[in-house]
Amino acid sequence: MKAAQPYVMPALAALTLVLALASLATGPAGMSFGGTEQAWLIFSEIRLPRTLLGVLVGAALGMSGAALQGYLRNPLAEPGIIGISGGAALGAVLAIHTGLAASFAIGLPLGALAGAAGAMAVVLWLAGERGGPITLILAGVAVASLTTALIALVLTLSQNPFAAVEIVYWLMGSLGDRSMRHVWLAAPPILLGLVVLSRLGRDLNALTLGEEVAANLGTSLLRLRLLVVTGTALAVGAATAVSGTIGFVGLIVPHILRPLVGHVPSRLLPASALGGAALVLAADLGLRVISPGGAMRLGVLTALIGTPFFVWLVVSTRRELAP
Amino acid sequence: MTVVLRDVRLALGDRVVLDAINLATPPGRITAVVGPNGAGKSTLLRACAGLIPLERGTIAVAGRPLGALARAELARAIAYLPQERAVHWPLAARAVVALGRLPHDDMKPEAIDRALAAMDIVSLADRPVSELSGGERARVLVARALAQEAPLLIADEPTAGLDPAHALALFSCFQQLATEGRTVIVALHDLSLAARFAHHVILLANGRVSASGPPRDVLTPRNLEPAFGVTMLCTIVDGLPIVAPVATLP
Repeated sequence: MKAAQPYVMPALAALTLVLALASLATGPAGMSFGGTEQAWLIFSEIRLPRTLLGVLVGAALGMSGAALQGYLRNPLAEPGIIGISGGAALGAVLAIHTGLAASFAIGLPLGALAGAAGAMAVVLWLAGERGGPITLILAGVAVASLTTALIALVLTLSQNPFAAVEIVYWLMGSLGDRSMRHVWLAAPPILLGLVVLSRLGRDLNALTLGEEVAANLGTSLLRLRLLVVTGTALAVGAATAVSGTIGFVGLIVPHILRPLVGHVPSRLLPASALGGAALVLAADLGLRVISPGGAMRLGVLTALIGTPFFVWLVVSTRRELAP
Repeated sequence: MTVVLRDVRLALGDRVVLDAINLATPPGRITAVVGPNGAGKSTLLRACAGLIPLERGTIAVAGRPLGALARAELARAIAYLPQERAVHWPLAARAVVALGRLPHDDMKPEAIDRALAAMDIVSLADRPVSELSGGERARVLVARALAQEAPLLIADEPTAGLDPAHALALFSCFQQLATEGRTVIVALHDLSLAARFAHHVILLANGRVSASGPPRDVLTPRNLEPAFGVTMLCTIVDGLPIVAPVATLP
């Protein structure tokens, strides 16, 4: 392992910028900048929201993953583990099922945000006032399993086959066909969540030496847990609300970047936000290139990339543990 | 920093772990807490660090009860070194030591360098702690507590896993802290180290103080043998006290 590399942040920022520009320039309608009014419309109504959402969603997933891995001190943690994305998905599915999603434009994301808030409240309540990370994982796993079961129940109860297909499609995650309204809806909670999480670096660093030493170094463990969960709920809840469930980003990105920032949790937070944005932009770009018709979904692609990585993670952990 | 414990009683779950504990330690002194496994040493140290609530009694530092101190004040007043030596991420040794500066919100390199030098780990500073031996890692963690520069240092078995030279060096370092006017409270199993370096020894047995006073009064076969259940050799070699277990009592 090397100490932190000074070029990591500038390099990630440059990568994200390049991918964002590429994302703005890619689409079925070939167009040149400085073109017609129609080209401007395509740019501002279709591509700009897609790119902005890619950045916001990726940053939310990446930084939440880094914060949760730091808090739980487990490189396998990701935002899904504390039940927030499950809650958001359940809220969205209920919005589709009840017709709320069809009745007005942002009905679905609002349902998802409500679901994320509900999941957050239940997880915090279940985790209790004293317990440490373990009770949070247990509470999160309970909520995640419950939401999965309830989503399956809503699917089987769905009498309208179109609604069922819509639910399944939505669950796979996508950034396509989003408008600036989605951006305006998701940006405030995501940005607020990112601000909350980015300020936890000091406490996450202290937690490297365990809960007692962190407490001795002035960290309030209860406050830290509250902020980790709230920040994740704001960021990932809003991200899921506008993009569906996109897996593995919150798991892989912090894992790849950790050695590059000297394993320091506080440095990993901003790096993972940029890395997450870059990965989601890249996956969404790849999607538009390999499957312009939209048959492939973003969440499916990240899982397809993520699973081999996960296997590699298991193999390398096994190698490390071998005598 | 003066530490005063008055009639401390503490329960973990339903079990009373400490009862009727009284202690007053003025600044510039090393207090050793000794006793068999499960006697309550670690719990006593955690309580002194303000990490667990008391059931009864008070613990005061510099005349103020622990509960009256804000979290940040507590972090600057007390450095606590637990027995557990987990480092959850493979940080560089220097980065671990630097964590001791968190309560001060500065990275004061002199404090970090001094702590690295005191623990003889300057040459390891850039190595990840995951690649260090158990004893080296223990010294890195002591250095973290030293870098905190708190007037009260509470250390739970800091010599476990250290070679004899580094164990002696650690206690010389504690002695240095004491001459600077700081207070050191240390739990340990090496009774010879306690006899040689501590100004005051508390012998705990079953959560109560069974003896308390200067080492030569406390570390005697009469006190130690019933507490530990072994016969003890207490002698002086070259002017230095030696306390060693001999055989299990029948």
